[in-house]
Amino acid sequence: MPNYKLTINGESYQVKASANMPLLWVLRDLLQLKGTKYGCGLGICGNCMLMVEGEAKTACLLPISAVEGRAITTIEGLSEKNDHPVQEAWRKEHVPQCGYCQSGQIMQAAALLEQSPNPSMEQIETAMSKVLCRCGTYPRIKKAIQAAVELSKK
Amino acid sequence: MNRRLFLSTATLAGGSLVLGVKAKAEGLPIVDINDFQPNRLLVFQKDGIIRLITNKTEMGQGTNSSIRLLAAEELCVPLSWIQQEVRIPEEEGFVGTGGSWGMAGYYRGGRPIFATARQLFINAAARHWQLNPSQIRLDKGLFRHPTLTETLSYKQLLSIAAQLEVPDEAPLIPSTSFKLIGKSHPHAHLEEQLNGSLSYGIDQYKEGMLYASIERCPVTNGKLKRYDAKAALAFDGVVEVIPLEGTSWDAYDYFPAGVAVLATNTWAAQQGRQLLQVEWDLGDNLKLNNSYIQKSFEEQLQGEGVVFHQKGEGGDAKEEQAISLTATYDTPFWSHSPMEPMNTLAHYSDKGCEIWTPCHMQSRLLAAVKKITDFTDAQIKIHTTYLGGSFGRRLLVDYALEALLLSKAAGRPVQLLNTRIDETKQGHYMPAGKHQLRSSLQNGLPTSLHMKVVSLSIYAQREPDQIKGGIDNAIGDDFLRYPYEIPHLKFEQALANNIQIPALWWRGTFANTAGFVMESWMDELAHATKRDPLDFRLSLLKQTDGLITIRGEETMDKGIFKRVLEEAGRFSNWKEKRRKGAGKGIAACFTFFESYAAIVAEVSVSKNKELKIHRLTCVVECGQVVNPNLVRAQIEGGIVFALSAMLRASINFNDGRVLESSFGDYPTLTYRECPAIDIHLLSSDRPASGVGELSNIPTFAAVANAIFDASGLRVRSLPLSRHLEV
Repeated sequence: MPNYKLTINGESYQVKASANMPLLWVLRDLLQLKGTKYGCGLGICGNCMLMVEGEAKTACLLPISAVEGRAITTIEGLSEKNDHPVQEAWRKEHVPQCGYCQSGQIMQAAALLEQSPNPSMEQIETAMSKVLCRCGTYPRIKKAIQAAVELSKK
Repeated sequence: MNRRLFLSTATLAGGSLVLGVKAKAEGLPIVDINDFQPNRLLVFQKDGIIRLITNKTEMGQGTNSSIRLLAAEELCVPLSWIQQEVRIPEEEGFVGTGGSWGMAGYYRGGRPIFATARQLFINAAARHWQLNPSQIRLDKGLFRHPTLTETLSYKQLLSIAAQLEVPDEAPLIPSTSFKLIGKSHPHAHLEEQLNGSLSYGIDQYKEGMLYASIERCPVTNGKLKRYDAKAALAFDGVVEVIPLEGTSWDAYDYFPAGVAVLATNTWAAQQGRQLLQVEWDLGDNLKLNNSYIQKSFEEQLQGEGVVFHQKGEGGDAKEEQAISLTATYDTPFWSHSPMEPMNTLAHYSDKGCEIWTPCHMQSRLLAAVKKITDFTDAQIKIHTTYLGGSFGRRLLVDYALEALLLSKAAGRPVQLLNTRIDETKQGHYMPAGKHQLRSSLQNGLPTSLHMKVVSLSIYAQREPDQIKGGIDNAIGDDFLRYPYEIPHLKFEQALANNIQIPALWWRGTFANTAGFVMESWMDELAHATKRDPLDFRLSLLKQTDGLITIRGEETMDKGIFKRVLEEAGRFSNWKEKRRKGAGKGIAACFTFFESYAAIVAEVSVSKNKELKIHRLTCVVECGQVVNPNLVRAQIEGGIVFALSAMLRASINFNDGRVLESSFGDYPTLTYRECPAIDIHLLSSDRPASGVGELSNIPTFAAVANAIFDASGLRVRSLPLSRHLEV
């Protein structure tokens, strides 16, 4: 099995894995970074959303060979003190219920703000519709996204 | 849902485990002890932490977060002093969560226990200072002397309290003095949910564990014939392949025959599984398909049913009828599909077993483990993890039993994880149903209603003892909760248990389908008499003095049922003139856990039959609101859950197999599709009652009635995608 050098949350990791092993399972099972969640493994639910070079990606469809040398950010590395504007906004609006999809929701929202600091309604809807929630936290995510946009301007 | 089981949790919370001994009448000195447990629910530690041990499990609903408020309020301590944990079933009796009764049970049964603990410590302070207990004041966790500036805290009084007798009774903090109850507080795990550190079942880890994925027989009750594991075993990381026999389809914790692939990581287990060559004996259920199910329902609808409710001359009263109306309503199978797939980490050894699982029926798991092992209670250790949703699915423990059997066979800890496709194809489903209704109307008022429901019965499958005289009350009861004044009623049911599909409780279960049917029918009757649907309902809710008892078990206040309807009308500006293509629909409900809700849905339907749901206004009367933040979250969640189901989702069968496989063909509501939701919580003198399975119930009919208002299309079968572009 080949060796890969990954940069995750600013730290270097050496991993031995098959070239097509998805990043999701590399993180969860080989590196014990459990914050990124498995929801469908098909790129539909977005629960495993993380950032590669600031762009939102579903980790379940991303082979390890495609991310070598690229900066990967997971929920564990979004902020040191749980105070990224998106986390602050999510806290303010009390978004999570079971919380299982929230790593994905938060990473998707953080990536959106990274790409478009002033997103249009359409951009928000397109981005946030990629992460599914069964508990029904969408009404609060709607409010939290607006709060996050404001907070990230500060 | 087994109503009695859940209602009994309130009393199970009681009882003193550790009784104090009588102390002599003199000032007692403070001695250093580690902790003191005056009753089943509370452990007072010397570091000041008060451990709250509940039998409820967190799955997003936040019950424990709010039970903390009850404890802190009654003990008069800051919220941060209370640390909640889940009771261990083998040591302390029933542990299980369901029926939306968690908060209601603790509000009624838990607070008196917290109050006696408070009184015990007041008595302890009094004993220490040699005062009368009524001279002690308690504020922010500090006991105050009437004249001295010296104060005492719970942690200082442990040794004295431990020597006194726990009082049998103590006064409750009156609701007018509530400092915490009634105000919004965050979910107890919010911080860990924001940074991804909250540990769910799927996140459990134990040194040396293997990861498992099971290829299960696709047809209910099939058997494993033979399998070839050569290719699977050759896949990098695959360690072992283990067959599982499976149980009979109607076993309480049914799991199918399967072949498990165990590997050093989840991905290898899933990949190895795809390389298995398995041959099944598919059995008799190959004939199972949508038309077989529909034909079966149809036959039973025409055949004889069992009458479970009758009033006046029944639903077929002969009279001079101005109008007679009849229709059939269909509801599909639905899947629970919580975001965290079923999983369990189990470690079996000769000495005992340990199980880390996201289930919320721990006592059921304990009993099931005892059945398949020779272990005693003391040898079985169940750890409850945080749950990534449930909606009823995690009442069952099939996945935990599979993991345990695999660990036993492998001789190491094993974590089983279902794929999303497993979750969709091999679930235990909300039963489909068919309903026939017939009414006569005279002078603009309904005089009779004859309703017959055909459905799979969860009880008949899993707990046949619950069926009495051929009646499944879980199916019937929800039709009794609509208090409209119709003089002649006849309700019948027929159980379609020839259809071998594992059926299971599902957020509200039959209340959803009964609500869809009954409140859509009220709308049909209103329109048949050219009446406004809200006015029509109110005209059938005239006698509102006195309470209605339903089967001697629960009490409905018709006045509150009427009030939630009126308020929903008011908040939604019901009488405002509709734009062309736009419509409003109303529906209400009363639930077995004694809460009330009414919803007005606002939709538009375009010429091309494109449906857009704009807004839902929901009015709730759930007794004392304990934590408005989390009550509102549950109301939002219930509405989204119902919309997810009714828009496009259904589970369909062909050749004995489920056709759907993931969120691709079993879609859930997305961010973009989520309408605006306005919630109004009515103030109430009643004690707190449940909200977990409330707002979903009226959502179905409110939306369907709004569609009729907007377009003239009467939706009598779900999902809506059968009729409209959604």
